[in-house]
Amino acid sequence: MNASLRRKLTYRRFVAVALAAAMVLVACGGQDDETPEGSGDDSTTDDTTDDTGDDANGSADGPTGDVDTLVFALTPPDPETNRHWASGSPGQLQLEPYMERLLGNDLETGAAAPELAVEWEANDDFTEWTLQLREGVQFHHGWGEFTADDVVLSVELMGRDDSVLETAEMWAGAEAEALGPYEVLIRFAEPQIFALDFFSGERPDGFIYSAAQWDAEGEAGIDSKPAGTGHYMYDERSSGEWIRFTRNPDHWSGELAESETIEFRWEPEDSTRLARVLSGEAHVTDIGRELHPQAIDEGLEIVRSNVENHQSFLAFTGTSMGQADYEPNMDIPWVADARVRGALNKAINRDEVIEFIYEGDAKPIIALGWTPEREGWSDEWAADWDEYYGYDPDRAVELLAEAGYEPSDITPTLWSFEIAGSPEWPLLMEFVQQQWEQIGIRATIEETQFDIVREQVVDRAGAEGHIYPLRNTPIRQPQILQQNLFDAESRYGMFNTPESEDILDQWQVAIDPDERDRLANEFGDIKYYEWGAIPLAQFGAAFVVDPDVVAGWDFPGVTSAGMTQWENIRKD
Amino acid sequence: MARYITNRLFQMFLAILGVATIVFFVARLSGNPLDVIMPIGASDADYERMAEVLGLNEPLIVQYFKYLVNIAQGDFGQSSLRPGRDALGVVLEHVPATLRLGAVSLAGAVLLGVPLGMASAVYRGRSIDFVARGSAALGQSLPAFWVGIMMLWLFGVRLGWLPTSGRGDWRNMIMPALAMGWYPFAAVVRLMRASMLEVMAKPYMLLLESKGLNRFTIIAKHAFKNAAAVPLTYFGITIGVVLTGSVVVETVFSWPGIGRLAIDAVMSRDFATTQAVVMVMAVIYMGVNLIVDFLYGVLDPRVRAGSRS
Repeated sequence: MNASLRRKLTYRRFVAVALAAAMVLVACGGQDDETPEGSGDDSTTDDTTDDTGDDANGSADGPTGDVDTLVFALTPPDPETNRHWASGSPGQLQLEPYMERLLGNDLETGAAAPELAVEWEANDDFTEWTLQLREGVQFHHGWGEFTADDVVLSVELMGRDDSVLETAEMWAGAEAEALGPYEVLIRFAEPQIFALDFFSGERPDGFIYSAAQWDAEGEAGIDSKPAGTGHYMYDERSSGEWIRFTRNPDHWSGELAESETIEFRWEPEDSTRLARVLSGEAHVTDIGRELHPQAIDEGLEIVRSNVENHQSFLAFTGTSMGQADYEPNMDIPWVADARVRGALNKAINRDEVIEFIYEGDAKPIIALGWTPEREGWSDEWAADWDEYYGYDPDRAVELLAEAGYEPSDITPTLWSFEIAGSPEWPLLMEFVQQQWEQIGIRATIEETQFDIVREQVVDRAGAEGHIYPLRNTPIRQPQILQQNLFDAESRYGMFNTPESEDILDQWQVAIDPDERDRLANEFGDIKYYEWGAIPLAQFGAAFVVDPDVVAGWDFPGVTSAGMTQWENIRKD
Repeated sequence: MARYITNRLFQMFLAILGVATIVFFVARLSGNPLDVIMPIGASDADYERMAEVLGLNEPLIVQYFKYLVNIAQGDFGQSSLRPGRDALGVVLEHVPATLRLGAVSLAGAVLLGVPLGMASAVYRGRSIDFVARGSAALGQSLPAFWVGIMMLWLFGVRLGWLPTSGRGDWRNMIMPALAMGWYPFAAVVRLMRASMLEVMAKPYMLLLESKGLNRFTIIAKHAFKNAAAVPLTYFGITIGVVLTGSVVVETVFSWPGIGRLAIDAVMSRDFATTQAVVMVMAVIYMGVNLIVDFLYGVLDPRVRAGSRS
């Protein structure tokens, strides 16, 4: 054998070894034991293949309307848990399909509506609420009938020391008493005018756990197989991967959800979630609005909530003038001048914000924290909106001149960050910066994180001149929003004055509706006419769906995640 | 040899203690976890209550010594990412996914990289050398997240050949393993090629050829054995590359391993889980390097001799 031939043979051996290595690599791994039975990978694939003979991966092109498992590609919850008192708003979504509250929300208006409670009334000072409970409701997994004992337990859970609910303190001071199997009395330490919000989905409170399961299994039972009363039943979860629910065949309403199984798959990246739906592996996703046009171009559709229950706005720092021991940094005097805040408001074209940032799927906020049906609302705010918040760069420059400033004197720092559910904020801050630049205001963008912002705003001094995005989601009752964010005593201490503080103090304890309405209106007037914030856009929840699978979905969108009423999903 | 291993174990213990200390203080430099955990409307009283529940109200030095005592007993505390669960348990639950992906990536990198590196050296200047050097250059220059996203859209969405993300069957592993394994593959190819070229230039290779030995035997038996020590040394470093690469790749492909868990824990300022995940990563890294050192000692008599002296 000559040298040339030997070299050729050796070369072929190398190629053969390389091919063998490649085959070993491909052959590595087998069926994953932890793959959910009904996962999009498998069930969707099988169904799709059965129906259409399409490729093994499923395809957005093929009709997949009769899939048994509806797969949602969603932002992972933080934390992952079945303990709703340990999760608050961010984790609420993973409990919604199988848990229910005393009150639900009207599909069209979002107002509190009967769910596990059918009637309710408060005493004169709103410290005691008596609720009549629905009879014949069965907990999942054989844990018996829902009774007042379950409400007593659930109130205790919400007030635990490890509760991260916004209302933990309120629930810790509350006491629930079973007056009978279907009647419960809840006593609060202080008047709770808005208790109905806390009993319904507007706040992350109020899920009802089974006392029978708790007594038998304690926290371990809730962690492993929690019993709820909803249209779906908890089935299983895999940490960091997915959670699956199966249809409840015996829901008290008599309604039967169309999909036998729904599965939430946690996908941290927007692009991965969109890819999941486009590849046919998932059918619904919650990607950022900036990706909606791409999704529509690819043949997907958007479903929207019935209620526009999200408000986004920009908050000022250095405007807590109602705080007794607070002395604003006078190196940046403009922050305390209403006319400067007015100029910053009027230099923003909200129509363009809505068009470019929210893809036209929003409307301007009239008054931050208010909607026409909320106490204190004033029609004058709507009438005066153009004058006070309408886009008018010339008037913005005039306002600055009246305050004694040139536009170049105003040098705000824009804190830019994003939080789950609001990926558009960094883009929004760039947009605002450019709008202000058009009249000569030189804003600087500082990229940061929300928790760092929280730390800095708590320490009022030193953060003056900063402006940052925030949301009011779902839209809180005006009093709750003001006391949480604008009260000088709150951690944020956004815009307030000695006068607004005085009004808020009265408002918080007032129980006469007319008196409350007057105080709410007076407070709102101060905030509105002194430009206490930069209200931007109001919008509803919007999700991307595969129209070959999801034909429609009726939901109010009043929870922080927006997604509820899975039983109302109509399949193609 | 036993003394060599004992020395390495002692060094490993000191390194783990150092890592434990660094991760404790660095985690706390990132800020107050309550600012992430607590809702927007939480009051000062809520903050104080939760600080007490989580043990954050004690002086830092007290927290540190309690932490050392607890982790010595395997207790990293409760995870706030998975309320009610032990942080170490959460991390260990995610380890198999990363090890599995890492093993496939590394196996691919070695099984493809070693023969390709050898072929590249043996057939220097020919088409296979061009392919090897080109793929190695791309592997070392393209970031894993970009490769991952491109593959996801091409093979997952446009062509529909592979599942886009998550864990399923073996097909789910192909894209993340390629994204994670390309960089170490490139390194193995380059190291193997350079090492083989060096060995093949030695005079004894000419002697073996003049003795009439089969070329395949010369390369596979004599050249490869002497050239393999360099890639083996790199293998230990590769574990670090794979573990850090898992942070990005697991996020892109929604792979539920410790890389993605580490990101979630850091973003949530979950001290217990962050500490546990870093410690587990450190132990894996050091453990693999210990094995590599041991094998290195077996392969190279000079190492054994050095440890004796």
